[in-house]
Amino acid sequence: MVEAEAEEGADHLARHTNTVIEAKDLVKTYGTGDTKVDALKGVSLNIKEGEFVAIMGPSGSGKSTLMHLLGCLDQSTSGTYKLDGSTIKDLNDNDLARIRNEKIGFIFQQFNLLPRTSSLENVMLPFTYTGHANKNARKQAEETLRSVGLGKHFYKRPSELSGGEQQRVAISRAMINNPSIILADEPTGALDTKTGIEVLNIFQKLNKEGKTIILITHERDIAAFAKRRIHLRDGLVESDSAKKKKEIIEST
Amino acid sequence: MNLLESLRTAYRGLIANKLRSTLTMLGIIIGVGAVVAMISIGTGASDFATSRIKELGSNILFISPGSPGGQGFGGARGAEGTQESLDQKDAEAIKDGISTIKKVSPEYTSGAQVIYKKQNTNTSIVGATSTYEDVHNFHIGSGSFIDESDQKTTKRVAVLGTNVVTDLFGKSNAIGQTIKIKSIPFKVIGVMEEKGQSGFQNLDNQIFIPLSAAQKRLFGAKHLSTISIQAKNEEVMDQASEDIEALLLERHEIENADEADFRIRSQAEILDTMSQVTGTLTILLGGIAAISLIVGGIGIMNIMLVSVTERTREIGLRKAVGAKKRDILAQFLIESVLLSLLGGAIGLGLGWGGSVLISRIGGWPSIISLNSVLLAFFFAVAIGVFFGVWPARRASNLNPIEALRFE
Ligand SMILES: Nc1ncnc2c1ncn2[C@@H]1O[C@H](COP(=O)(O)OP(=O)(O)OP(=O)(O)O)[C@@H](O)[C@H]1O
Ligand SMILES: [Mg+2]
Repeated sequence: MVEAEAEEGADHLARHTNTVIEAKDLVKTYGTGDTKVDALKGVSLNIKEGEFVAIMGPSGSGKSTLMHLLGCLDQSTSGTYKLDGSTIKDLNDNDLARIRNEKIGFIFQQFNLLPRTSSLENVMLPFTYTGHANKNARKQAEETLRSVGLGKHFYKRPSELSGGEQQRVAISRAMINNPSIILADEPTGALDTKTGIEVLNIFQKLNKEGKTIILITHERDIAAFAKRRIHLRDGLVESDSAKKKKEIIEST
Repeated sequence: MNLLESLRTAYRGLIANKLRSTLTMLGIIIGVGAVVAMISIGTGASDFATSRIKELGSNILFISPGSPGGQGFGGARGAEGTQESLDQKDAEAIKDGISTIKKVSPEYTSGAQVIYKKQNTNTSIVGATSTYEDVHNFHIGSGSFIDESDQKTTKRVAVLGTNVVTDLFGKSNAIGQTIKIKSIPFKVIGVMEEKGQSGFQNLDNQIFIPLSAAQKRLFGAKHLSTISIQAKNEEVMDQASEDIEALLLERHEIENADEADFRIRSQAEILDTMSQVTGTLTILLGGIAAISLIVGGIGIMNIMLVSVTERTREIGLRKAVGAKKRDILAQFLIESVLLSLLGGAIGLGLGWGGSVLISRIGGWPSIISLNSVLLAFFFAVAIGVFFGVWPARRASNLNPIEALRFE
């Protein structure tokens, strides 16, 4: 109850309009019996449209698990998750697939590009599942790749690209369907600092265009790009900068 | 996901593992090939049987030298008999002594080399009499056939089948020219009508000369290789057969019919023997087909399971970017159907080629019908779907995160 009020306070402060992500008491348990692992033990958070959020925390604290739930790649064991107002638990498999296709762009630490497939075709992959023909698919993909500086690499395969280039292909793929939310699980984890910064600049640009960005990172200077930082520990939210500010305001 | 794109994805999956795909298809190739060969030989044989009966009528008997139980078939070929137990006198006795028959055609057939100028060819030489045309329902096309006086005077005249004409004369006129059979000159007096392939042999690939000339001038033989008989009608066939048997046994002084040195068979009996043999072959091919289709199907299932496992991460990724269950299901199902369809197409080609080869070598009639093509494709698709569904379902039910975590 108290927390809900606190969130409302943050709402005002940030002056964001819509809450796109509403997670309440998310619990995720892997396995059963002796091998049971509580990856998330009750995580609640609200994220508004256009926010840039960094999720941090030690290894094994449940960051990826949370991200998968937020990205509708997996379902929580208990708790409720509302995305754009619709409760995820109530949706069927096809609805979830459509959300992943249209609303969410997911970026993985390991890029996860299709091998033996050109950059262009990797980027167009989400179109394959969009359900309606898109005559401009190719053009759009080319444009997106150009916007991340890969104008010369349309026909290269992942094995012919550097890590930073591969990650930019993956980002292009996440952007192609113009999703409102971009989720990135340690997008710079496999990159050196310089390429990491380049990749982050892309995220910043996307955020300026109004997209909600949530990324996981271990590195403080990367987290510094984000306006809001959420720390996880042992499957719980340890701190949330949005709330801290609220606390600071309250204490003054 | 539209069909074209699914096909492209599936095609790429197959191309990425060419050798593996080919080996996997082998079972389907053999299976479908056997199905096609089986059907084409089966329909060929029954088509042949019905057309022969229609053509010759069901009132024809063939007498050939040899024991009644001996040799499978070949009466229609005429030259099979190695014994010399039938002669012209037998033929005359049958003609004169048995009232149920209409015409008798004594024949002596053997192969020989034929030369015209610089052209030469090997064909069967049929020593025949004027009755041949009617008994075999095989008529002269132009010029005239052998007549009784040619036979009496052992005249060196020849009537050519159309193939022989093409071989020796090309497009120029054959009638009036002189050809050499075993170096002996014969004057061409006629060309037969075109008859075409008749199951066991090409009827257009024969030369007809007077029986007397064949026996005396060419081959120095006194016996006959076949006596073909036309009974008065279908009803008297059994009677005619019995009478001929009795007559020949008496003439050959044989008491026990089991020891006869000749065989009498009707067209129907010959076709019967043939259909028995094709029946056996059909069952054999059917067995091969069934087993290899099942084995091929299991091969496909196996390779699809391997493929699903190998591409678990890809499946996870596709789901992560919005692939629905049915998209993944379709992708893998199309891949397995493509695999079996490709195998089916190759099998169709091989089965086709195989049955043509069997026809050529064994003189076996075979027909590739639209039905067998359709059946081959039906089998291929059915196998692809049946054995592909399970792996494809497994793929489509994968949880995206677990799939992406897969090592
Ligand atoms: N599929 C799974 N089956 C069993 N346990 C799992 C599974 N996925 C995650 N876990 C466990 O859940 C806990 C949280 O994992 P998670 O991947 O969310 O951590 P993380 O914060 O992303 O760590 P890192 O920074 O190392 O990526 C860990 O203890 C992990 O072992
Ligand atoms: Mg992680």
